[in-house]
Amino acid sequence: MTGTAAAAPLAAYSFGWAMKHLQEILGYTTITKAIEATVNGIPDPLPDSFSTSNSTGLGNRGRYRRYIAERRTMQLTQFGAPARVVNARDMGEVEFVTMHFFEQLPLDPFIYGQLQSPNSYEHDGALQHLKRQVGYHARKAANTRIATKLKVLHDGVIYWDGSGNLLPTSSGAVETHSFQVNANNQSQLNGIIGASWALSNTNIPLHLRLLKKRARRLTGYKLRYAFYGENVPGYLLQNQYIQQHFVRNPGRNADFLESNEVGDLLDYTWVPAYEAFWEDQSATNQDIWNADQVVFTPEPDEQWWDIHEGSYPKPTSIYQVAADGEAAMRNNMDWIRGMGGYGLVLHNPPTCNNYYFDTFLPLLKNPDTIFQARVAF
Amino acid sequence: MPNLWVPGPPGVRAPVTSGHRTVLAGFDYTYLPGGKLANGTLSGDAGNTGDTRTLRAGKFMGKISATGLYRNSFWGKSTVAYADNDTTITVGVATAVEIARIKTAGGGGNLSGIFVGPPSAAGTVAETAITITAVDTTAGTITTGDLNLNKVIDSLIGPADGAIYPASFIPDGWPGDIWKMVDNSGADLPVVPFPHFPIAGVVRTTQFLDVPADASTLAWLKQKLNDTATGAQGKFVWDGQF
Repeated sequence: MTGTAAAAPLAAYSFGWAMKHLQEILGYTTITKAIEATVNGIPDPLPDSFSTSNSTGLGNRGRYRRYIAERRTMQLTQFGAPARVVNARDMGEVEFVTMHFFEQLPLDPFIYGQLQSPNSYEHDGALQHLKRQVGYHARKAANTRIATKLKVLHDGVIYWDGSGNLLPTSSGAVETHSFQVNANNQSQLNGIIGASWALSNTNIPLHLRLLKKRARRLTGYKLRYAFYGENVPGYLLQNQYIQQHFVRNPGRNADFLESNEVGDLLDYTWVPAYEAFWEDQSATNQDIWNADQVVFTPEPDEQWWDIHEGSYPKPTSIYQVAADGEAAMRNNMDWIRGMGGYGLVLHNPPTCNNYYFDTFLPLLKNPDTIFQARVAF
Repeated sequence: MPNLWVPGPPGVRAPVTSGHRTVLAGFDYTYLPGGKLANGTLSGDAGNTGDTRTLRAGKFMGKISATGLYRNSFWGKSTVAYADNDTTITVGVATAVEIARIKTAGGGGNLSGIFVGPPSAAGTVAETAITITAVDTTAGTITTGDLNLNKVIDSLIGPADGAIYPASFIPDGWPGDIWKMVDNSGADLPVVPFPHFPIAGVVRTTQFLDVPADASTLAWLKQKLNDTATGAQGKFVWDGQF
């Protein structure tokens, strides 16, 4: 086609088409493999044993019994005298309600059905994109478990705003889920952290021994883990009581230089938790672990910690006519423990939704077993 | 049937604990054959936080002269010494709430009571009649007007219908349905069976409830539990005597 740019196209064969560069019509650009700009999922710094679920229940509520075991001694009796009457040990009950999450991801077939593959010019048929988006949706559920589990251990409480968004602090909270951690097990642990660890002459080993003693008296469970924020290794390394240990122990020195983390020290297994975060509803990364926080816990055990999974009814077929309501519910619904999902196609116009749900609670059964210490102040 | 539903939002609730109490120091109790009956409407345990209508082991019980039914002998104790010219007695919030309940159950008018204690530590115990005209459940006080006397802290306060003189007590065990003074919907039970009615045994002072700190008030209490004059006739031996 010819004609000056300023003049109108020749009426005989211009057909009113806009002028484009040939490459805009027939050009070819290589498509390389798609990437994920951010890694799918958030980091979980805790050992796998903190994610194990040992209990499940119907719906979202439950209770467990709680016994005060025996740690007393007997009373001396004169030989031949009648027996003394003694008390039985107290017992109690704790009720809990799980969290529940239920989300719907709309998948428009009119869009997904007319897309290229992410890695080539071939027609994808929606498969790869859908698979990826559905996978991301499921990953949100896993992220929620990680973030809330860490919040329980770090703070003993979880805050949510009015839209159900997880909050880093109580600011703006409409719903607060308490896990009953005693104030004496927080901050400076009612005097155990007698001086800031930021001071090099603080007797940190003594604090750790006092903590072991307190833990034995409070619940009897031996502490094992110390989950720490990013400032803590520096406090330990500069501490004059601990420094000599590193100076005289080349093996420990090498370990630290290689990993930049603490490892096993002073009868605790130190685990870095400062990488924990989640992306909030404003796409802002929210740190979970305070730089000066150390949370001490025993080895996970059903006696004090569990991931309790509730259950939720999931439809197994839709719009099926049954003999009656009882048959409809019995034949077309399953109670799903914990995490689950399903897809649903609607027809007018054709559309598809991906549903994902989770019903669980990081169940801190015995809150006195953990110590949420703020070591620098 | 216990309430199996757990109300409220997600999270873990504070534990609810059942504590075992043994007042008996040794051997066994002698129980009154046939047992007795308690007046559930007039009975309560102010110190049983969260379940004040269930009586705990160690709660002293006295006889209502007019009806022969039993109720708890003491609503509570004074938490501040009473001085001449005072017009209120400080009893603490929990006791004030219980007294307010009793007052309402009696129609809301003035409530007659007895205030038991000495004017000074280990002094002569006086049983002073009081008329409770008002109850402040926020401040934890009851209005009696000026009694023109003094009474030490921890003096006993109870009803004026005869039950102030303990005849027995709730015996050992866990707080249970047997000692609930209300039905499952929370309504008062006018009459509650009192099948285990101790009349003799070796008992532990520290396991009783409402035990006064003052030595002479405690002596008064011990004497009343075994006092034939007030009809108790119990044969209790207190472990601290030997």
